[in-house]
Order: sequence, then C-alpha cells, then structure tokens
Amino acid sequence: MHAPISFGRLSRIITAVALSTVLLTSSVFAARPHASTVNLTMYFPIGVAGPLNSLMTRLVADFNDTHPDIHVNPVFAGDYVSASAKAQAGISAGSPPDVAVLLAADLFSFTDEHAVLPLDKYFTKKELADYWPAFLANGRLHGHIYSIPFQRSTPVLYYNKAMFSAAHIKKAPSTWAQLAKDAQKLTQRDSSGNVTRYGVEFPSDGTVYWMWEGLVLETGQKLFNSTGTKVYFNSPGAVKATNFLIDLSHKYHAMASGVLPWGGAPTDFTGGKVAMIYHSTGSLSAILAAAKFPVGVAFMPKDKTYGAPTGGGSLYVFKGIPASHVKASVTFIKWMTSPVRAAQWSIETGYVAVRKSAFKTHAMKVFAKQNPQVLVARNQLKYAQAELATHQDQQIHQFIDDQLDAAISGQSPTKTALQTAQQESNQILSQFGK
Amino acid sequence: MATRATGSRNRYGNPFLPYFLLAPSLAVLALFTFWPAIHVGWLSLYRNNLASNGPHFTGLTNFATILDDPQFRTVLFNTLEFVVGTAVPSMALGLTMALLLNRQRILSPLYRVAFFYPTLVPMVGAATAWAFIYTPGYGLMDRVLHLWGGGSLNPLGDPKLALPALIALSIWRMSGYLMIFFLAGLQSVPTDVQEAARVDGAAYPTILRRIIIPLLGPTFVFVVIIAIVNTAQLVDQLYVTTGGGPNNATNLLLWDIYQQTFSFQDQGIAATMTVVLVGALLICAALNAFLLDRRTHYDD
Amino acid sequence: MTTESTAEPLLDDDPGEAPAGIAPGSAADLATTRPAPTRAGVSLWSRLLRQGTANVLLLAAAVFWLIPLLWSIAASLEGPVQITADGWGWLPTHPTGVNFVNAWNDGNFSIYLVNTVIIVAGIILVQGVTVSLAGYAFARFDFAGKRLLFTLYLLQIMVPVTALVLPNYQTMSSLHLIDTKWAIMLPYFASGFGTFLMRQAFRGVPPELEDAAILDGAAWWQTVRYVYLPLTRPSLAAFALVSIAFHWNDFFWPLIATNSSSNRPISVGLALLTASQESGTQWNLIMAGVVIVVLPLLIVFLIFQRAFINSFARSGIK
Repeated sequence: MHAPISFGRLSRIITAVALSTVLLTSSVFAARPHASTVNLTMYFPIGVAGPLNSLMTRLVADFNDTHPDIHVNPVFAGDYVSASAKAQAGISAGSPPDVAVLLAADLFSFTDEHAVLPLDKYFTKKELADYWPAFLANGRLHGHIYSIPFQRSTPVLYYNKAMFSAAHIKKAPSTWAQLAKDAQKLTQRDSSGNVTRYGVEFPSDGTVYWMWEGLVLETGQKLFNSTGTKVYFNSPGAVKATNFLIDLSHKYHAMASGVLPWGGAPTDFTGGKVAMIYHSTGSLSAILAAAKFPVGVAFMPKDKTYGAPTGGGSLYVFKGIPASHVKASVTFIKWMTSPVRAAQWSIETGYVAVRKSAFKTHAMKVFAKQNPQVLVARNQLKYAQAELATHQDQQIHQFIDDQLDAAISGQSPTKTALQTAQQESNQILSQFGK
Repeated sequence: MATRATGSRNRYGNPFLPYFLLAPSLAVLALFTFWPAIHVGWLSLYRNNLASNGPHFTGLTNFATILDDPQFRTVLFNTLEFVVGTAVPSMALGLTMALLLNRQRILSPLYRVAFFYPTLVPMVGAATAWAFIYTPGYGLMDRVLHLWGGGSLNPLGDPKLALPALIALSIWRMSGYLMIFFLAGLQSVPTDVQEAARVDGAAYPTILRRIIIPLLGPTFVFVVIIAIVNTAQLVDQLYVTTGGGPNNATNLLLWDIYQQTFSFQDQGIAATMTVVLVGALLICAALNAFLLDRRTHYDD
Repeated sequence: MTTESTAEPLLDDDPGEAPAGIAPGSAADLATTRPAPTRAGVSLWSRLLRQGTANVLLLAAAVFWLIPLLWSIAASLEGPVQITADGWGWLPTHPTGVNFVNAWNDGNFSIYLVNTVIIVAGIILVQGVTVSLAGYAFARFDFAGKRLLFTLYLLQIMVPVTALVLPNYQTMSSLHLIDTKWAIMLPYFASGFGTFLMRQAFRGVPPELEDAAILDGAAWWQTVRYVYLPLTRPSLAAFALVSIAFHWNDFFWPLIATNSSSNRPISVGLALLTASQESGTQWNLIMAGVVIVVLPLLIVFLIFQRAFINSFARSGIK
C-alpha cells in the first residue's frame, strides 16, 4: 500500500493556488478600453451553433476599427430567452444595455416597460423600404418602428435529395397531402417492424409555437391581432394545423411520436435518420456543412395557401441611455444591417439577409449561384407573416407551447388543449386590452 | 457523546469576543439569507408584473392566485415527486453502498471512484450526458433497446417518462454523495457490539435494524437534510434538457420561480412562490428535527 | 444481504495525519487496525461465496455507474458521422481529438476555467476564516442568544442561496454587483454547514490544551491558529473539498448573477455550449465539452480519493 498524498500537502497546494489566483484576479479586473470614445454595451443571443459567437465578435471588431469614436462591447447573453431576461433585468435595475439583439416577438414586453426607443425617425423612408416588410412587421407598433431586423429567419422544409431519388420522388412536396404521402413512402422499417428511418420530423420541444404558426397560417388563419391583445389559439385553423402534426405520427406513421427536440432534428437529418425536416433557415449553413448528401430546401408545404412565420432577432435601442449613446447605437445598427454586412451575416450563418439590396451585392450573387437554397427562404418571405407577438409574449408562448406538447404527446385532445391555451391567454391579455 | 462540558467560560476577558467572532458570517447570513427571506414575504403581498405599472398592495391575493392555478399545483406535485423520488432511493442506495464498502475489498478504490465521481460532475454536464443517452434513435438507451429487438423510446419527450428519467439521473448523481456521509457515520458504530450480537446468533438484517441503523441516527438527520435541500434546489438539469416540458411534466418549483422572475417578469407571483418554497423547506427542517432529531443531541 | 464477519478498518491510514482529540465514539481511531474476528461455524467456503456475491453486485453497480462517463468519453473521441451511425459501439471507430479543440475554442473554456478557479478559491479562502471563527465561538463560548444564533446558522443549510434567487438578485443589483465575480461569491462567504462542522470538531478538542495555551499567554487567535486548527484539519479539509466540489459545479446562481463570459464559471460555459446547438446538436462536440469540464475535479479526486474519504470519515460528520 503506497502512502496516500497527505492532506498537509493538499492544503498547501490549495492555498498556493488560491493565493496566486487572487493575485491574478487583480490584473484581470484591471483591463478596460480607453476613455473619450462612446462605449456601447450590446447584448446578443445565439440562436445557432458555436461559430456565430466568433463571427459576431469579428463583425463588431471590424466596426470598432472603422469607428474610432465608438467602442461596442458585445456580451453573449445565452439563448434568446436568457438574453431577453438579462436585458429586462438590466432595465428594472436601471442599467439597460445600450443596444441588443433580442427576439423580434418580444416587442410588447419592452414597450410595456417603456424600455425601448422608437427608431423610425433615424431612418429615411427609402432606407426602411429596403428591409423586407415581413421582417419589419414585428417591430411596428402605433405607427412607429421599434426594432430593426438583424438575424431573421423563417422555417423551411429541408429534404434529402438522395433519399428522394432512391424513392423515385421527383420534387419536394408542396402540399400537406403530398408531404404525408411522400413521408410515408420515405419511412423505412427493419424486419421486426421497428422504424429505422422516418419520413419527416417537426421538432416540438421548447418554442414549438413558432413553426406551428406557419401551419396555422397555411390554413388561412391568423394567430393574433396587431395590437397584441388577442390570440386565436382555438380557431378551426389552429385545430386543423395541430391535428395535421399529430396525424403525421399517428395516422401516417411517418414521424416519430412524442415531443421531439429542436436541436436533434438537424442532427437526425444530416445523420440520415429522417428524410425531411422542418427547421429554421438559420440552420442552413450548419446543415450544408454536415450533410454528406445533396440537400434540398423548399417552402413549407401549403394547405390553403403557403405561409410561414418570421423569426429571430432584431436590434433594439434602450431608453435611459445618454443621447450620444443613442446616436452611436443608430450608427452601429445602420452599419450592421448595411447591404454588405447583411449579406455577409446571411452567407456565414444562413439567416435571411434582412435587406433587399443585400441580394444585389457581389458576394451574395456569387454565394447564391453555388447555394441556390438561400433564395428559397427569400422567396418564401412573400407569404411570411410576423411571429406570434403579444403583450407578455413569453408567458403566452409558454401557454401555447405547453398545450401543443400536451396535444402532440397525447395527453389531451387537440381541442381541449387549444381551448385551455386560449383561456389562459385571455386571462393574461385581458389585463392589457383597452 | 460524553465530551467534557463545553468551555463555558470566556477566558479572554472580553465579553464581546464571541459576537466579534460571529460578526463576519452573521453579516453575510443576514444580507443573503435572513433579509431576503423577510423581503420576499413582503414582496409576495404586492401585485407587480408587466401589466400592473408598478407594485400594488393586494394582501394575500397572490397566494390565492397560485393555489387556484392548476399549473402551479402540477409544479408543486412534480417537485414533491422529484424530491421524494430522488432522496429516498438515493439514501437507500447510499446506505447500501456504504455498508458494502465499509470494509477492505480488493477493488475498493474502483468502487469508491465509481460511486462518488458523479458528485464531481456538474449537474449541467451530467444532464447533458444523460440527455445524449436518452436521445431517440442513436442514444445509448435506444441502442441497447434495439439490441434486444425493442423499439425506440423518447423519455424526455414523453410527459409520463420525462420526470422519472430526470429522477434516475439525480439518483445516479446523489447516491455516492450520501454514501460518504454514511461511511463517515458507520465509523461510530462500534464493531464489538455487532460482533457480540453476531456471536449471539443474530442475523445480519436484525443487526442492521437493531444496531447499525439506530446508531446511525445522527447521520440520518443530516443526510435527510442534505438530500432534501439538494434536490429541492436542483433545476440545473432543466436548463440543458427539458426546460420544464413537455407540458410542465418536469417543471419544478424553483424553475417556475426563475421563469416567473426573468421570463414573465411577474415579481409578485415569483415572490409568492419563493415563500412557498422556503416555507416548505422550513417545515421539512422542523419535521426532521421533531421526528428524527429527538435522540440526537448536538447541544449541551 | 451480506454477512461480513470481519470489520476491518475502512481504509489504510496515513499515520502522519492521525488526528488527536476527536470525541470518543467518533471516527477517531480508524488508524488502529481492529482484529478481524472469525465467526465460529461459518465455513470458509460460505464466506467466500458471500463475499463473492457482494463483489459481483458491487462490480455490476460500479460498471453501471461508470457508463455515462465512459459513453461521454467514447462519444467525445468520435466523428459526427459515427455518432448517428447504426454500428457504432463503445470503441471509437475513427478516434479524433478535434472535438476537444473545437469545444475548447467554441466554448471559451480557457476564460471559464480561470474564472472558476478564481471564484472557487475566493469562496474557500473566506469561508475557511468565517467558519473557523463562528465554529470556535459556538464551540467554546457561552453568550446571550447563543441558541438562537446557532439555530439561525443551521437554518441557512435548509434555505440555500438559490432558493432566494429573486430577492438576492435584487440585492445584488442594488449593490451594483450584477455581472461581477463578487456577485457569485459574496452570498457563500458564510456557511451554516461549515460552521456546524467546525463547531463539532472544535468541541472534540480537549479544553485543557486551550487552558495551557492561555497560561502561556496566547491570544484567542493564537489558540485558534496553533491549537484548534492543527487538530481539526480533517474536518476543515472535508469541508473544503465538499465546498470546492459544490462551487466548481454550481450553475444556477452564477447563471443568474452574471452576463459576460469574463465573469462566468465553467458550468455556465458548458450549458451555453449545449444551448448554442440549435442548428443541430453536435453530440461529439458537446461530450468533449462535458469531458473538459469534468476532468479537472476527477483527476484531483483520483489522486486524493483515499485521503478524501479518510478525512471525511474522521471529520466527525455523522
């Protein structure tokens, strides 16, 4: 039995490490950018995978280099929900960030707190007209525009072209009926009847309301009113959309049942475990990079009409910051969403470039030639509508997400579930309705 | 426990010395435990959310509101199931591990490492690893099921399986931690008494029930507290797995408080829920002291 | 289940670390090897059989307990294609270290690691002082309000900082400490658990030793430093280790109290790496992140596991 390392030695090691780190801290805390420039704090979330963090850092560094009088400090604040929580916490503590990329659909939460500034007066009509209207829609309230689109997306249908040709399917489905049929054809089972490959996957954990809104829009049903005081969760269109999802699993047996994780869908797709997935355009780059087969991108198939929600983050500027910061923030926003930067952000991430003129840039033209998939999302914008945005939107989102989970996992019948979500939402929204 | 009576004198001639010694920690406790506990009781009497335009006194309305809310009842029930479902099996396993390891074995170091290492894994890391195991299609669980010709399971996506799946993970992580407390406690169980009983022909279960477990009394008091507190405040796993879903099947009280505070901005409701959580913890402490602590005298 | 007739000491002991003056009946005398009496009438074979059963059970349980770690390590060495492939077993078919490089860079782990060490070291250093002082006060002084104050300290064990996130967050914002390492550390500068542990340990120290020191003209702090602490090192060490493990892994409060990666610990870094996988969960990358986070503490534990369990057993926690 060899002698164990004694605690005397251990405690000496711990003390040494502790002391040296305390010394180290003092130097870490010291570093700060120099004065006389306007220092802006920008919160940003990550909606998509790792490289985005470094891309954002690079973009902001470029801005700082070309604008000696402004220094933007980017703060990665987690996913959308935590980033929003951070900003809100900062607001209530009286120390908001200057500018932040936050969920476009959170608009009412910020205006209810009187926390964000209208931005339309800093932009010319012509400038505003260059942003896709479907993207600007989530920023509009009472004749003002409160947020400028930045990393915006919309769901599309990804499909595995190799599997399609192996199953002799010529093109992507364009209707719900066709989707169900193709998905059945693409589903494979082993000798004992266990499914080895599903036809389609519609992820349903977390913020399932988002893509589900697309299905509802396809039935010709709107989901909420423009002042954010009413939702239509129990409408016939919403019921039909939900039942379609359930049918994919339980009637057509072409989709795994239960609540399926958002992050798992692209992994399943690129791993060849499923032939089609509904997912955000924001995942396009990652999917193209990981897939070992030709990837097709199509509109979300239609029921009565094509339809899709927009999603993702817009840039907000916060109240209570000095005028010089507001000015600098607007400069920053204009730079970040300039055609060249919008194109760059789109190319490197897969988000849809937020301005029409970005598609006229050289870089985007070259990229679109090699990856025509990026144009699908742009073309779908014609049918796209604002993401579900209401007062107290996070809670409303939670209500509908919970009940959709309940319906999808078979806990309660569709109608009951949607009725519950409707009632819960009414209760909250009635506090805001005038 | 017949230590000599505590030094009851203050032999340094300064009557304020004990208070001086307590001052630093007391200040921290006051600022981050006692004051907030009182403060939150105060906040629970106000309606304060995005719609309210500032705080308005409402008395006990918030309590009525949450008790009336079926979702809150689900959350309470989940929390109870999670705490009891984790604490009881973890204690049983921890005690079994300790009894089996309370003697030299060839592979003792391996066993100790195997049972204890989960404690050293951050819950977010453990939950991530288990989420991968639970992943339908190519997670370890499905691969094993597939070997046996079974179908696919989606534990974290199924409202019936999600909470049990997270409980399994928590038991895995906590048993080894409780094991070391039991191991420490077993050192105070005199071997000669056990031997005497054994020579008298007592079977092991009898020895366990009559001698070992009663002598472990103080350890149980402690372990029960540790197990309850550690599970009641454990929501890290939700951040990286279910986020409380599907349909609140895994939503726990502290997670609900977090969402009410930071996502829904409903300070009044969040404060009210905090009062419920703290109240429940204090009741557990009191019950524990009353039921288990009677024979255990830490004091003079 | 098992009828062991031997009760050998828990572990081999390091005689240099033998504690003096632990309360009788406590874990004081692990160091002395007890005789291993054999029970009459039980044959060697039946004993071996029973031991064998226990060992088989233990081994099976140990393997089961190790599966998540081994599975994570296996995945962390694997390429993305194999993760979802049908035939992938335990041994990586295409072992690669690239996941670790990517996870390290994507996850910003170098910053998080430094932060974690600073935070944990800061907490432990201050806690060491506060719990020793408070433990000493409760162990060796009589004063008005002692019982009440001691109960309040015990209550802190039951009402942890995280349960009070809402008011504590507000306190931190009004102190303008949100998004600093102080916000993470401050609430933990006192510990009811540590105070309780040190009180128990100090009560085991024979008062005569303190009397002697006082006769020699020692001030109170000299008594604590030169009489009490050297004799209660196992308790302090056990507390330090539990505290290190707790704060190294602590996630919820640091997540809430900080925003920027320059202040966040490694557990938050790992969760953010997981949360940033929206366009396709790269399990091999995430598992590499898990392994990176788990490894430091695991290695320390592997080296010190004997000393750790020993000191725990002797700490008087019971």
